[in-house]
Amino acid sequence: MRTKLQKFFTRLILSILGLCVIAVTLFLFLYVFWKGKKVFSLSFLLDKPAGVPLGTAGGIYPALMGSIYLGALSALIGGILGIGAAIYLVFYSTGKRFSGLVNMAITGLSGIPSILFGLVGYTLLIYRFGLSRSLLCSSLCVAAMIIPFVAIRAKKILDEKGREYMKTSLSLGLSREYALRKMILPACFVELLGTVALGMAYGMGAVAPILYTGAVMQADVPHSLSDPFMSLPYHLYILVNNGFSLDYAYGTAFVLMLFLLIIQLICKFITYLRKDN
Amino acid sequence: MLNIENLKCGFGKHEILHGISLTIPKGQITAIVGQSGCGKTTFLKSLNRMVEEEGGYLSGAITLEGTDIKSLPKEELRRRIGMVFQQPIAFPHSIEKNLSYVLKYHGVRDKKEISEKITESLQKARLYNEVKDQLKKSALKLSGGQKQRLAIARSLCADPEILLLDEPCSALDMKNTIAIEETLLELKKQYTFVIVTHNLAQAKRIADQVIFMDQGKVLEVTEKEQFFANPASEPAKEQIQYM
Repeated sequence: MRTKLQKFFTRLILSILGLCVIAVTLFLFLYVFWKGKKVFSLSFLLDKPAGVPLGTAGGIYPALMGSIYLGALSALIGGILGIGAAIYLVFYSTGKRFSGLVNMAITGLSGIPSILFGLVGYTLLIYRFGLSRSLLCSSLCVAAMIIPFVAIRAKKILDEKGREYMKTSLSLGLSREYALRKMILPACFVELLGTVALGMAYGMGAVAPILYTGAVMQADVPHSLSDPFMSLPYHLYILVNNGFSLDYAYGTAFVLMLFLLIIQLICKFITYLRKDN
Repeated sequence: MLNIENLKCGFGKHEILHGISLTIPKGQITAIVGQSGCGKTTFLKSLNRMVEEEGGYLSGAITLEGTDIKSLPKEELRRRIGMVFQQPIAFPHSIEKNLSYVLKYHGVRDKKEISEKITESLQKARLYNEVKDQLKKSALKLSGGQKQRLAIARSLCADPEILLLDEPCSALDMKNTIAIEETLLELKKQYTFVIVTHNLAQAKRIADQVIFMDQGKVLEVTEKEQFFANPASEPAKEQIQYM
């Protein structure tokens, strides 16, 4: 009887905890949507910010595009480095010491507060190397932030799927490089792409690394890597921090959340299709 | 012919094989038997240096037709000494691509030649009749027994001299086991097989020579008939008793 009760309560408590997570997510989305719906429209997505103070009218188009550019560029740089590190750890590392060091670096990097990436980026790229505050500087900082995010997940994917393929390929007299190029990377491509896309979503949501390195209050859609840019989370930060307009802040937050959700859903859908096949 | 002299193998400070010396004759099926954990698989993996891919070390000498295997590039060595694992791995592509993947690396480029070699390998592995109409279909949809025969066919694409098989039938039912055993018996005219098995009855059915291992050492290397009729070591006697 006691065991049955214990089982029942364990199940009940865990179900409630699970429901709590769903409730928090739903609440966050619905609340942000509810608050932001006053300003949400097509022109909000496609217009430049306007009004005095800036952002209290108009739209968020430059910020949306700036975020996409930032996300894409940092995902490209961080993705290449993160996946490269994962490939090295799974297929090439022989010395336990060096691979332990790489692992430690990845873990260490994942624990660094995001503001430090901004601070180091500012000190090194702008103050030391004399680069201007730009999309490139911010992308490098965000890329450094998403390297461990991508590397840890890519390592898991390659560990699960790639190791057996590599072992089988080597036993057939094939080279590591041929197996990687012709079998393992194509076989894991969708999952790796999904990981990079999630990294992009993670990077797009960050404010701290771009605060001192490239994001500005007002700018056009960047035309080159050396242009400063607007981004959704930074725009949101300015609107809230200066108390300009909470409605527009919620509208911006909703677009940001929606965008990140769409990226995640696309990744899930592709992974689902892949598994189904 | 594969000649092994004082082979020692292990991982880190842990030595698993303690000085093995023996000869694996050409054109025969050699079965490696012994209790679980005695080092059968490690021994098998040391023959084409796959053990090094898992962080293991090797010492002693292994010569393939008189050539020290350490002097051969690993790719060349493993082309000549192929391997099939306990759990058959089908690559996530079509049956055809599972085989052409190997052929292309080993220099076969002509489409007609690739197609002919695929057919030949599948026929040798006794899989062709079952899959001839579905070569473009995913290899992941094959049954366990078919996947294992695909793995054998894939290894044959590399045109090996010796094929190492690590308990290839342990996860298969009797029908598939017999299919694989018949395949090996038929192919031994062309290839040398070294098979690790925990199934003494299987060794009795297909092997020409038996290697009996215990705690990282070889206790017996003898012809099958002699091994089963009059085993020399006590552990072998015990195992045969419970067959």
